[in-house]
Amino acid sequence: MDKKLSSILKRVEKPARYIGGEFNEVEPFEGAFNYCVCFPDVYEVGMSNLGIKIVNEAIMSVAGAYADRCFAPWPDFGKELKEAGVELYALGNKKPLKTFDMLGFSLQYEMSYTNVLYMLDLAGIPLRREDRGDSFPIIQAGGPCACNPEPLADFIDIFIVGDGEESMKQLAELKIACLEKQEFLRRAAAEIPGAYVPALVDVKYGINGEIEGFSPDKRIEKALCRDLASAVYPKRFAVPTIEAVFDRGVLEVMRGCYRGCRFCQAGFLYRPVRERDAEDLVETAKSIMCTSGFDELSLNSLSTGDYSSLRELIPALKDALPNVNMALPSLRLDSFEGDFVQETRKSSITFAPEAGTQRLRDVINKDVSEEEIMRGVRQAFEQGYSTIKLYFMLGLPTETDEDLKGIRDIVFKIRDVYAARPNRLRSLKISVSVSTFIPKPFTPFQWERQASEQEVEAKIALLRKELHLRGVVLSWNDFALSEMEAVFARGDRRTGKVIEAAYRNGCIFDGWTHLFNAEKWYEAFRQTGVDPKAYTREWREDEVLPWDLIDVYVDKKFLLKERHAAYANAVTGSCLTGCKGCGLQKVYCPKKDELAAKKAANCKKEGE
Amino acid sequence: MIAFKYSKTEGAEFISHLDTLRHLNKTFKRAGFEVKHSQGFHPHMLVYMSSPIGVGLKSYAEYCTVDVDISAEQFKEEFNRYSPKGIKCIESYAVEKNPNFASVITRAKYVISGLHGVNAEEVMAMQSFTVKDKHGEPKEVREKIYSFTETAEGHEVVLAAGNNALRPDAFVKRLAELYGEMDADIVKTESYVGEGDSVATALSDIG
Ligand code: SF4
Repeated sequence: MDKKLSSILKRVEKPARYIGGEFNEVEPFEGAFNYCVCFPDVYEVGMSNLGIKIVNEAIMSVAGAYADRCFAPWPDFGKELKEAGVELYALGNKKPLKTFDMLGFSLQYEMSYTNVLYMLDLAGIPLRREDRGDSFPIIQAGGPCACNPEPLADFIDIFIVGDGEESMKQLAELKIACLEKQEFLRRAAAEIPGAYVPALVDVKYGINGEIEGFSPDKRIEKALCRDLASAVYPKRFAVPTIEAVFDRGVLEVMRGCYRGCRFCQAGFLYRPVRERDAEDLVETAKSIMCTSGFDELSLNSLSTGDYSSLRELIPALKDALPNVNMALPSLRLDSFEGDFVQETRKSSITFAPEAGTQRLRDVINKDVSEEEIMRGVRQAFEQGYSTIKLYFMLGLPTETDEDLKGIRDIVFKIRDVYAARPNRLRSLKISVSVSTFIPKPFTPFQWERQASEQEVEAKIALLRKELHLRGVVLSWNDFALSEMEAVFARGDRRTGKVIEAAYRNGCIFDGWTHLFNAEKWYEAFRQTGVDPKAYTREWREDEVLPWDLIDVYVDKKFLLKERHAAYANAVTGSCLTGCKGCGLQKVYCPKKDELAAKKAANCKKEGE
Repeated sequence: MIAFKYSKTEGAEFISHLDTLRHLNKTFKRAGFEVKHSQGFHPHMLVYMSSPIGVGLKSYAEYCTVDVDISAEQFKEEFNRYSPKGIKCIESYAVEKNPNFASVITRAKYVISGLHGVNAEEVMAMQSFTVKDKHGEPKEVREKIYSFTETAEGHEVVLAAGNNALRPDAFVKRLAELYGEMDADIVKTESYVGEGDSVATALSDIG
């Protein structure tokens, strides 16, 4: 190890974040194509992310390609690297990021955008793509936030929108075949599904500052992996050198969600639902758990309770892996929670009604009744839980004080249920977390405005009054943070300079509440003359949206219909009750085919 | 039961004591060792480590005992197949009972390179040698320095280890105050029991 580096490592917090050598990580080699996945958050967070494991697996499946990894240095280490003139390096081969052919940023949340610039800067790579010329690595980005790539369009050479399994493989193959940067970018944009090269697309603005259109006027269709069964999946998980946020194996049981909650971006982005085969999952789980030595296995998806073979999968997993704890992080409270949750030793149980009244839950298409919530709560008490966490959103479209008071009603009902129990060893604790609603691209609420600071303050004041009760703790998030998130979720290309200015002002790790500095952010808006309100306002339905250049196969018409249904308090329900014609039926949707086949069979029966 | 000596090098010296325990546990699991567990509500593997070594100090002389029925040879081979980079078994012994390394290890030898201009004889001739404690107060530690010599590779020092340890980095820090700033590299090469006996002696004592 470099002497300068090893003396820095002796001074910083948790130096094992920066040493690599994780068990199960591939031995570094010099490839025909060298890729480094860059996760713009700290090691412990990044090592828990499944997406980057899939990306590296895809790259490594290409003959001659090598995939390495790098995470954002915590501020203490970043500062030391800079002062000592040591360039940011990859954890595997320890070579400077600069020496790679391509760096791939994983965009999981908007508030990690300054960390993208931070990592480029520490690597000694110019931030803006126009300043890089042909001698630096190609800077690529993907992940859920790439669905609106525009805020980072000035910094990233190429985005991959959608699933990475096949597209990242194609990207590696193309780069091996075509070494010259400009030609590679041109060909990637033309040939690889989901590839977006900002340099090849111009945005036209009208005199009022609104977007008039894109040139060329061609939408970029997301990459869609139709056959997850034969796609790559990590079978050996690298074991983090220090304890990660989730120190466990991860099994993705399905991709996508049937529900269609109107605020939830992931629910639309990852359509159609693709369920994995239960037997395959058991085999994968065996490999992951035996090769890692983890104690816990997490069954991940947006809504694991809807996985159709869950009742077969869980016993089969328990059979195959008797000593492993099973975690079901996203189990909805209306699915059969009671049977399985007791497996894990958790001190509290979480419910996410999202809205306080049935009316507002109908508005957001959150198909859960108060009765179902109470049933879940009752089960939790029966299992010995006495701490309940509740998640709600604040500032949802059509929300009134009545809806906020509904939160209090739910809290009271939970207290009544607990009070009616015969043996209460501990006193009941309820924690209520509210977060400000953020209108996100590709959802029916993408046109909505975000509540203003005054409105949010008034709502929180009301909740504080209503929930000033023993054993009840209310928490809410910083308004400025939600405002920034809204701006960069829906931002256009002009917001990029705000991110750069904020970074120059010293903003990094903005997703970490204690490191987020609202003043420096507002300063960045003033310096660049960008008005955040221009991005948190309501957008007209006929306006061109910054992300209109991306096609995730959900029809805009469908989103509009859903928006109007929301204003009519009308529930659309989940795809499990029938295909709603969101647009995916024209491309690929296994559920729709299954539903159609069932219907045909029924008709036939009736006809006989 | 298996008692074994292992290394913390190649970057693994930056892994904390607690994380090292996690890695040992996971290594045993990956290797498929049937390690006995404690009783009680939160059963854990019966693994006993020697006293923590400071983060960043390389070592070829860490010790650990684990309650598992397996031959010493097989243990070493399997452990090394499944352990992370830099954490490698050097020697292994089958033992009847836990030697309790955390309390029996009393001294450790370190090879230190980069101590330019440090005169070991002069240091050994000193009546007093003080290091700062965590409140910044000087503390007399001369009796914790058992030997200090110059060798071809640099300097070699034997210091008190275990409950009453003198940390080698504190020792070097004091040398830097006396002889001027230097960029030293410390490697722990041996651990001793009693008055400086080899660990093997302790193991043969308990059969
Ligand atoms: S095509 Fe139909 S079933 Fe498929 S995701 Fe869209 S609405 Fe649901």
